[in-house]
Amino acid sequence: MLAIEDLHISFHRYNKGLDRTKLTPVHNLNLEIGVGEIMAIVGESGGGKSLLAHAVLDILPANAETGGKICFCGQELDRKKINKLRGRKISLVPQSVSYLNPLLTVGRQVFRAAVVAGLSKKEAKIARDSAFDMVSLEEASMKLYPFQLSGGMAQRVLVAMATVGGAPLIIADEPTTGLDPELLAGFLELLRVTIDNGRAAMLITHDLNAARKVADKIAVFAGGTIVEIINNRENLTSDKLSHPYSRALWDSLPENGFNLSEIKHTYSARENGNQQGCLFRGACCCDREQCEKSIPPLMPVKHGLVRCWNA
Amino acid sequence: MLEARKVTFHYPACAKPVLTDIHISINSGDIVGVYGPSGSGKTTLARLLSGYLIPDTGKVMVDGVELPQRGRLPVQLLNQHPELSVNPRWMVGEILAEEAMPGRELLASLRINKDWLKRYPHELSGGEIQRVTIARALGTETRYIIADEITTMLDAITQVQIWQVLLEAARNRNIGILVISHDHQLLNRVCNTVLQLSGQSGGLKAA
Repeated sequence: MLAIEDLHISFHRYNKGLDRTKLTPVHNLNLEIGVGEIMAIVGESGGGKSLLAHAVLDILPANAETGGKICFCGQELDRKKINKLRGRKISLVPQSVSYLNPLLTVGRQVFRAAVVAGLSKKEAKIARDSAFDMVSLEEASMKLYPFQLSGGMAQRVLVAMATVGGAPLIIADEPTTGLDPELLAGFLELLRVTIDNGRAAMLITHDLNAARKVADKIAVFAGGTIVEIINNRENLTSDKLSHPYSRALWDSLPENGFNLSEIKHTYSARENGNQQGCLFRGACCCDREQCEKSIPPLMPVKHGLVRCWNA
Repeated sequence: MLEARKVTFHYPACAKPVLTDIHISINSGDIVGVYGPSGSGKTTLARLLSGYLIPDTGKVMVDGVELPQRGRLPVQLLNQHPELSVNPRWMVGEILAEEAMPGRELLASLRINKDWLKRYPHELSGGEIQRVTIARALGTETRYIIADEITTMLDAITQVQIWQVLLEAARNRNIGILVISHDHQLLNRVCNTVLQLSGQSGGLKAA
C-alpha cells in the first residue's frame, strides 16, 4: 500500500548571518507496507521517526527538503496528490495531545474530522458516535474541552479522530503513550481488527513490547534510518536481533535486565549525516575495515533485513 | 518525610472529588511507585504533593512543616510532557540558569550537550528536554522529586539512562522519589514500594 524508496529529509539552519548548515536527520530510508499489515517503527526518541510520518503526509516545516520517492497504492505522491489524500485516505494519530484544538469540545473536533474527510453532516454524526464508542469513551465526554481530559482520554480522542473518516492507511505516531496496560491492550486489539479489514498501519512507537504484540513486522529506526526489519515478531528474543542497536534496545527493557549493553551511544545521526561508513562505528563492539568504508545496505538475514556488516 | 494527610481534592468543573482522604508518605531516599487506571487521579496527586494544586481538605507536609507556597520548594515535579514545563521563548541555558546552573558533572551524567544551551526548547527532542528539566529539578535544595510518567514517551535506552541519574541522586543525596507510571516492569525495577491508586475514593493500596 505504501512504498518508500531512498527517502532523505534535510533541514537548513542558519548559524550566524548567512552561514548555513545542512542537517540530514533522515537518510537512505526504504520501507514497504502491504495491505492488512501493521508495520511498527521502533526506535530512539528524537531520532526522526515522527519526521518520517510527517514526510508521508507532507506536513514538514517549510525549511525542510525531502528527496526520494513515496508511493501510495502504486502512485507516486507529489504535493498535490498528498493534499487530496491527507485526512481522507491517509490519516494521522498525532503524538502529542497539544494537537487538539483547546477551544473546541472534543465531540465537535471528531465531528469536524469526519466532515473534512468527506462525510455529510448526518453521516458524520453517526461516525462520531461510533468512533467514541469504539475507543470506549462515554457520550458525556464529547462535551469536554481538551484541558479537562486525562492523558489517556485525550489519546483516545486522537484515535477517534483518525479513524472516523475511514482512511485505509493510518499513521499512528506514538498512540500508546500514557495508556494504562488495560487500555493499551484494548487499543492494540482495536488496531488489529481495523487493519484486518483491508487497511494498513504505520505504528510509530518507542515501545518495543507494544510493537511485538500487534505488528506484523518491526522496523528498528536508529541513526536516522531503518537499521533492521524483523519479520518474525513472535517469540522475539535477543538472539533473533542482528543489529547492535536493536539488541541494546532489547536489553534495556526493564524486564530484560534494564542495562546498557553493546551500544555506547556515542553516535549522533544528525551530526554524522554526511560521514562515510557505518553510523554506529565506534559506538558498537564490532569494528571491521568495511564498517569504515561504507554504510551497509539492508541485507537479508534469517529473521528479516539488517544494515550491519557483521550480521 | 513528604506526606499527604487525608487529602481530598475536586476540580471546579466536576462535583465528584478526584481524590478522597488520601494518605501517602515518602521517606527521604525512598522510591515509591504508584500506578492506577487512566483518570484515577495520579497526576492530580502529583500536583498536590508538589504544591501546584492546593487540597480542599487535608494537608501536604514536608518534614513536619506544611508545604510552603513561596520560595524554593523542596518538592519538584517532573511532567510527562516536559515541553509544557519550559518557557518556549527561553534558550535552554536561560531555563537552567533560572534555578542555578547545574554543575558540569550533572550535565555530563544527563548527557546535556554544551551547544544545547544556545538552543530553544523546540529545537530539542522530548527526551532531550526531559533531561534538561531533570537537571533543573535536581537543584541544591531539592529533597523530593515527583516523577509523573517521565519516561513514558522515551525509548528504552534513554529510559535507562535517565533512571540511572535519578537513582544515583536518590542514593547520594538522599532524595525521595515518587514514581508514577503505567509500566509495572519499570516500577518493580526502580521502586522499593509500589502502591495502587484506584479511582473514585478507592484510595491507595499496597500492590
